[in-house]
Amino acid sequence: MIKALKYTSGLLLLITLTFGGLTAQESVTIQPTIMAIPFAKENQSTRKAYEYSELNRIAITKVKEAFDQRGVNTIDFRAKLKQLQNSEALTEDQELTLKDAVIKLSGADIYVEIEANKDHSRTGNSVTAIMTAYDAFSGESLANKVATSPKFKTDNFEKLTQKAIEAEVDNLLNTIQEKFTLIIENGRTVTMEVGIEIGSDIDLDEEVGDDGDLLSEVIEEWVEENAFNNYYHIQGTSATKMVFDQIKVPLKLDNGRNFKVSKFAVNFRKFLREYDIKAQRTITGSSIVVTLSRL
Amino acid sequence: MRIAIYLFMTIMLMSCSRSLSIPFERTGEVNAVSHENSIVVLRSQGHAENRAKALYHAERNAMENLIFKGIPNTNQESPLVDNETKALGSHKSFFKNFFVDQGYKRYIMESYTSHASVNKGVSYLEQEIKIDLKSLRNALQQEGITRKFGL
Repeated sequence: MIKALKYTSGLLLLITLTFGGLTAQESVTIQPTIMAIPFAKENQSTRKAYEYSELNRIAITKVKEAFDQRGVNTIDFRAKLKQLQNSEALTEDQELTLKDAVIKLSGADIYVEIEANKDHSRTGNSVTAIMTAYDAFSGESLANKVATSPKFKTDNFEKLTQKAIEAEVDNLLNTIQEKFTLIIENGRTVTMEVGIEIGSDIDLDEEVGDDGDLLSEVIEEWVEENAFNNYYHIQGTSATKMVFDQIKVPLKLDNGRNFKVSKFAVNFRKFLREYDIKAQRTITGSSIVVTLSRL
Repeated sequence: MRIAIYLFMTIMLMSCSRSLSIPFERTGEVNAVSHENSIVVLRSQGHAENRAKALYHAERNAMENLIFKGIPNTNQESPLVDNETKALGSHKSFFKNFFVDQGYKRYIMESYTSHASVNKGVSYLEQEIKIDLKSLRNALQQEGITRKFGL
């Protein structure tokens, strides 16, 4: 009996350690959500680019398959499209902005735009597929690949599309992963625009504090101190506006939790209070817009 | 006297042939043959004092190039492992087992000699090797050498 108890408790301990270890390992990698969508030309709706092109549908499915094989969750574009169409009848203008609406609704971190085209020639037919991966929040391009199938004397363009995607999709995923590694090492990019409220008497060139520093200089110094590895880039400064087109922020906090862009904005707002300045902020994805006024 | 000279020369020749030992050295002589899904076929060259060792050199050369350098015109153009020095330092026993003890053979689906020759006692061969990239990638992830896809 005692032996059996010892055995059971030992087994339980082993199970706990094994699964505990797995959970800890899994929490190291953040799995981004990914959606593959068709490329739509100007004045063409994304829905039509999907529904009217069999090649695009095959290409999207093959890209989804590749992500699934790497254990990445993909969001089904067609399902999201239907969800959007069910909730509202779309006008012609709405059709044209459907892509943004679907991306927003899906909550995807990354979207991959795919275009597949037929190439006819005397020596044989082929398919060229263009795949571009974007960060859904910042719009930054993460990876671009052009895949061309071998030439065959066939009209089976569906098979040629599969061949083209299979040839390059692994490299697309590898390039995305390389970008992820760079983000882990160097931080994520956020942008920040600092402006003055209409009617306010604040001037970014006015002196603040006891050292005679200008408000713009104080702000820039704060951004430098708070940027990840002190990396930032300022696009331009005037008396009424400062535009930071790149501020690096960490991906995770020291306690392992994800760093939120809103946290950066909150810290900035609190800092400005020391100078009796009120900061109203709007955050869209990784873009922060701050409007200053007197407290 | 003649017998003594013949005997001396024979001993000298035998000792020379015994000392011929060609160590493995990574070269860039690895080319893409074809690729599909998560499978890649590479052509690699190797040379050594005997055919078996030349084959080992060719296969190891293909694997090292694939893992640490990437192969142009394949589905693995970038290296599977970003930082070779760091990875070799922190996972010594894995890589000893993988390269020296030929653990890489678990990921080879097919391997055949397409060309072989012997010149001045050295075996030269060209080997075509079919590699299961998906399981190789998974093995490296499980060992903690590479990261899972994601941030």
